[in-house]
Amino acid sequence: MIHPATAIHPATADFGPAPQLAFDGLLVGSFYAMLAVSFGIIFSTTRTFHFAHALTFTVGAYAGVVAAEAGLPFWSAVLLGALAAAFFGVASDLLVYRPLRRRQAKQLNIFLASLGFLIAGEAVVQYVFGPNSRPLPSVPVTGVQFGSLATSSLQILIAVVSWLFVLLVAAFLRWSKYGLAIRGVESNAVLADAFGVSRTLIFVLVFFIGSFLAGAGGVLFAARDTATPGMGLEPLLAAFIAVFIGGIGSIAGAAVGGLVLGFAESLGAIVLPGYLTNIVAFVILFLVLVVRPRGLLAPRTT
Amino acid sequence: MKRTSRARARLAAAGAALALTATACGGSGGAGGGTETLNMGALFAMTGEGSFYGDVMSKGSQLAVDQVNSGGGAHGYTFELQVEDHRSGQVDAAVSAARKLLNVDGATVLLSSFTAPTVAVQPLAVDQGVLLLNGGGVGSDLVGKENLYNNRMLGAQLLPAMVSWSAERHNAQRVATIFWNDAAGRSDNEAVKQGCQQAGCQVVAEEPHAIGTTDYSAQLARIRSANPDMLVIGSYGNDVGYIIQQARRVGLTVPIIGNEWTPDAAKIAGQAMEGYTAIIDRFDPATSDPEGKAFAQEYERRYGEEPEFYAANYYDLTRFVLPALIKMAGDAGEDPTEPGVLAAEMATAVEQGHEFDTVYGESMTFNQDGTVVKPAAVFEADGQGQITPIATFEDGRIVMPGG
Repeated sequence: MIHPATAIHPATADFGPAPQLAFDGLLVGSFYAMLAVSFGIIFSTTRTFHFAHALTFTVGAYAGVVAAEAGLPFWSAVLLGALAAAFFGVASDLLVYRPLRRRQAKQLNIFLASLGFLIAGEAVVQYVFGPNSRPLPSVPVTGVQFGSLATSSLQILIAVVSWLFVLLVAAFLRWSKYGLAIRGVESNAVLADAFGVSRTLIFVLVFFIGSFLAGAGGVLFAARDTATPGMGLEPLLAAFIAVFIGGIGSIAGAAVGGLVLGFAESLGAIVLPGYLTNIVAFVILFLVLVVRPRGLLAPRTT
Repeated sequence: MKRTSRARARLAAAGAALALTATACGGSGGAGGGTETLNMGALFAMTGEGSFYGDVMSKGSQLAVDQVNSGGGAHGYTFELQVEDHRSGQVDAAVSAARKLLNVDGATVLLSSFTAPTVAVQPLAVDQGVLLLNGGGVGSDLVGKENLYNNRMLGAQLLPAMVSWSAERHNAQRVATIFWNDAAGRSDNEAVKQGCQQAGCQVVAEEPHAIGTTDYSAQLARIRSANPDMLVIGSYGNDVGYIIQQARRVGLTVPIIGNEWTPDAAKIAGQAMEGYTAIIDRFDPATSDPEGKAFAQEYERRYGEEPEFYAANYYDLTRFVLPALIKMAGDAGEDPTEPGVLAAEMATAVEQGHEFDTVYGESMTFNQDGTVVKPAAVFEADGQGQITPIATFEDGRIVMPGG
C-alpha cells in the first residue's frame, strides 16, 4: 500500500519560465548588490574578513521587527534596524577586531574570531528572541504584474531601496572628504597615516556604513520573509561571493557582482532544479578566480 | 556531650533518610509506587528552521512526563526525559545525539522526529533493544522498520486520498508539486502521483527544494510556466508558509493543498493562507473529549498557547502508550528498563490490536508496519492563523459532513 519514494532526476532545459527567472534575477541581484557593497566596503578598507556581518544583518532585522511590533511605521523600523546594526557593527570592530589587530593577529585568526562571534551571537539571538520565526508585522504587500512577469510590491521596493543605498554610498565615497579618506586608507593605509588620516576613525566609519546597509537589508529581508536567528548566513555568503566576482575595492564591482550572481542563480533554474541553483554561484566564482582573479571590475593594482 | 548528642541525632536522621531512600529504590515497581526511573530520550529539532517542531514536541512530552510523575509514576516507574537536538533534520547530529542518549543517559525509549533522523537512528535502537517512537516524521521510509512506531499519519497514508478528492473538488487536471528534497518530501511527491493516478489528473511540474529555503522564486517560476490548476505542497514547517505567501504574491491563484499546517507557517503566510487546505491528524484543542480537554487546558495554562497536533502526538506517546506498555511488561513479570522489553511489548500490543488512549477523542491502534490508525481530517485555513475541519478521513477516503 505504501510505496517507497523514487529519485527525482534533474530537470531538462525548460526555457518557458526564462523571462520570469531573469526578472527574479534582477530583483534578487539588486538586493545582493547592496549586501555586496555593505560587506565590500568593510573588507576592502579594513581587510577584516568580517564573517559576523551575517550577525549584523540579523541584529538589524530583529531590531526592525521589535520596532514594528512596538507600533512604529515600516520606514521607521527600517531606519531603526539599520542604526542598531550600524552601532552593533562598530562595536564588533572595537571589541573584537581591534584587540586582535593590536596583537598583530593573522587574517585566519581574525576570521576564526569572527566565525566564533557569529555562532555565539546567533545563539544569543535565539536565547533572547526564541527559535521561532518573527515576521515583521503590518507590511503592506500586493502582487504586481508586468505582462507575464509577476512579483510583489515589496520585492520591487527592496530592489529600489537597494540601488538607492548603493548609489548613496558610491556618491559618498566619490565626493565627500571622508569618502576620499576611506579610499586613501583602502589603497594605501600607511601613506594615508602619513597624511594624518586616522585609520581608527576610518575603520569605525566603514563599519558604520557597511553595517547600516546590512541592517537595512535585514529589516527588508524580514519584511519579505521573517526574522530567524540563522537568517544572516545565506545573504552574507551571497555578498561575499559577489564581492569576489566584482572585485575587491570597487563599489561598482560589488554591485555588478551582486547582479551577476542574482541573474546566474535565477537563470540556473532553466537547466537545474531550484535546489541546485546555488551551485551556479560557486561555479561562477571559481571561473572568475581562475580567469580574472582580481574580479570583474577591480582596479589593477601596481 | 551536647555536641555528641547532636551528632548522634544527625547520624540517626541521615540513617533514617538513607533507609527510606533504600526502601523507595529497592521496590520492584509496584503499581503507583513511582519508585524506579525510566529514562526517555528525545531527538527533536530544537534549533534551525524546524525549531517550531522541537518547541511543541518537547512541551507536549514534558507535560506528559510531569503529569505521569506527579500522579505517582506509571505502574512503578517515574519518567526522566532528556531532549537532544538534531538541528532540524541533520542526520549526523541525530546519530551523535542518539548515541549520547543511549550510552550516557541510558535511555530505554527514544522519541524521535523528522524522517531522515529517525531512519538514521533506527539501527541503533534495534542494536540496543530500544523502542523508537516517532510522532512527527511522515516519510515512507519510516514504514516497516523494526522497533519503530509512528503515531503521525504518514504522507503516503493521507496524500493520495487528499489529492484525488481535491482534484475532483476543484476539477483540477494539471497538478504541480513542490516538496522537501528529502525522504519525506520525495515520498510525498510519489503519494501525489498516486493520488493523481486515481483521479485521472496529470502531474505537470515537480519541484523539490532544500529544507528551510525562504526564496521559492525559481521553483514558482517553473510551476507558473507549467500552468497548473492545483498546487500540492509536500514540505513542512515554515516552508509551507513561505511557499503559499510567495505563490500568491506571484499571482498563482490556483487551489493549494498539502499535509501540513502549523501556527508558525500561518503567521508567515498571513492573509495568503486563506483557502489552503491540509490533511493532518485531527486534533482539536476545543474538543469536548475529557482527556483532550484536560490536555489542552493544562498545556495552555503552562505554556500560554494552544496545543496543536504535534504536541498532542508526543503527549499521547508519553502519557498513554508508554504507561500501557510498562503495565503490560509488569503483568508479564518483565522489567521495562531492560533492553528489548518495551519493544517486545509494543510488538505484542500491535499484534493484539491494542487500543491506546489519545487526546484525539478516539483511541488509536498501530499496524504491523509501524503506521498508525487514528483520526485525521481535512482542515481549511483562514487568513487569520486559524483552521477549521471541513471533512474527515475514514477508511482511506475523505468524507464530507453528512456525506
